[in-house]
Amino acid sequence: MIEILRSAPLTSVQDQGRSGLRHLGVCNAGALDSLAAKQANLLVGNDPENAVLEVTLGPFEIQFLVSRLAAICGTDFDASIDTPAVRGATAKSRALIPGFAQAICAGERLRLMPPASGGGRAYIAIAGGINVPKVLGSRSTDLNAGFGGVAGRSLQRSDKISLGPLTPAQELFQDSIERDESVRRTTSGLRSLRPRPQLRALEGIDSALLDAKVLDNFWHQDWRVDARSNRMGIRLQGRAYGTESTPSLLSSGALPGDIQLPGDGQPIVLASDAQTTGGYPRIAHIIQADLWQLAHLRPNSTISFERVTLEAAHAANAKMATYWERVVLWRNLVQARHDY
Amino acid sequence: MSQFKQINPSTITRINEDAVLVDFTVTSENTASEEIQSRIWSLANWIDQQRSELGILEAVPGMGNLLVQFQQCHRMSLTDLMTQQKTTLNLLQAYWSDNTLLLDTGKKVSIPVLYGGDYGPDIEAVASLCGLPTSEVIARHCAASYRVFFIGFQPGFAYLGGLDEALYCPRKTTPSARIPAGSVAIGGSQTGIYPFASPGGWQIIGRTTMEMFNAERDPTSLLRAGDLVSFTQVMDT
Repeated sequence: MIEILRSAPLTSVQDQGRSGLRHLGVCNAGALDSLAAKQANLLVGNDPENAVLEVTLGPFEIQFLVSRLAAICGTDFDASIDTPAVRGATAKSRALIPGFAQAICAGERLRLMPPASGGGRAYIAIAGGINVPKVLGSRSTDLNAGFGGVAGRSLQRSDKISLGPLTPAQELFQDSIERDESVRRTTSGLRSLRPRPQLRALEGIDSALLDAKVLDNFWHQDWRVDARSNRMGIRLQGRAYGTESTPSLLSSGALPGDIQLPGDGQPIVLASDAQTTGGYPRIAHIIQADLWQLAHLRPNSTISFERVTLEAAHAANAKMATYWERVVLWRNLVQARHDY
Repeated sequence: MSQFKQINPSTITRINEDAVLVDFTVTSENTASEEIQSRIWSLANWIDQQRSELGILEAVPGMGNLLVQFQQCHRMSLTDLMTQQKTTLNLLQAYWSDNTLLLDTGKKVSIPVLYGGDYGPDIEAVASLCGLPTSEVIARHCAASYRVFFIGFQPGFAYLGGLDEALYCPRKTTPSARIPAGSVAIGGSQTGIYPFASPGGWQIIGRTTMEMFNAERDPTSLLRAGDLVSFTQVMDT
């Protein structure tokens, strides 16, 4: 069990999300940086699909009511583990470096300090996983419809969240951390991928309906990330041409990664919680291998788009799949060393 | 069958690595007929029943179109992947072109609505925009029957076709910050029910207490594509 001591809006329980329900209007939800969520899980010996805490704004602080291995991946939010002063011992604090698992003992607190301006996301995985009930096949919070996660909402102060059962390997490790303080930190870590200021995208399905100057403007401009961005969509601001003259489109299925161009010409990049259908022209589609980067865009930073071919997108996906296989292999090797 | 567009390269447009959109609408009409739409529901249901065999993650009906999302196969060569997707689309075409294709007629659902007052704050605006007395707006809204063309936007939000032309009404110039759950609204040539509180630009004429979507209920969504909806006026007690 853990208890939330301090939280902020948009911090929620997420796993790899729901699929196959868009025809009922149900969005994917799930960690915006699904890769970081999987990595954090691997670091503590969880199934990569387990639920984690997605932290957006802060300060965020939780108290551990049991001793568990924990890890953070994604944006570096200066995480620290604080040991309160008890029974004459002085209060202590140590850093939890992203990509390194560490045992957190019962009574200790984990504190993250995201910048007040927002931007970026960190994923906290705890051995056993965040054990909220599955709704429609997933533990992810659907913040708009209000189901999944903890009561379908952002985490709040005083929420008590139970943790899932440990695997035999996790049990073994748990025993050793109780006995020997020196094994509480792992010495091998995993570096989170670094987001790039340029996202790769495919030509949009509705590009043919848009003026050449609108297209040219989109591909050759640094767009500013608007502070109103959220898990539904990343709003971009820049020099724009209105698209009111574009023939109106009949609604069709929308997907995360679609870049819509509403009448005012300011693009919206659809993210995990996006509506399932839409009617605005789609000027581009972020490739699957770059979608995780949407989690780390900071308000007022700038991004641009690199137009790539289907071949390049497919090659990038294959490269990402290989990267993930290497991460899993690395984890298994580390695990094997600990098993004796 | 020849009056319908087929699933072939002229109707298939690629969205991304794993998804295509099949557009069955006739450009000159710029709308979807109920007949095309019912064939789309039928195809979508058929796909839904054998998703794993077809290698399809899901099929999402839109207005006169169908989004087909394939399962990710990042390990295959692009050529093999495209061949595999094409083979699947050929199977969809074989089903689509079958003249004995079973058309889904859906179920009938009657929605009780509290019109006007606090429940429908925009009903006077609609009445004046349409040049009708309020009572006539309610009467006409209740008289029609509406087909669910597809579900989208929010969980359980039904796009309804069949609004009386006399009730066509422009959206609000400034969208409301928060439309309460259960609100019944008119936007342009469409009418609908908001399952969840959300911002929105449609004119709110009433509210229903029926639960349009419940994640813990089976079925989750009260309405499905193909259903026939009618509204009945109820009084606040």
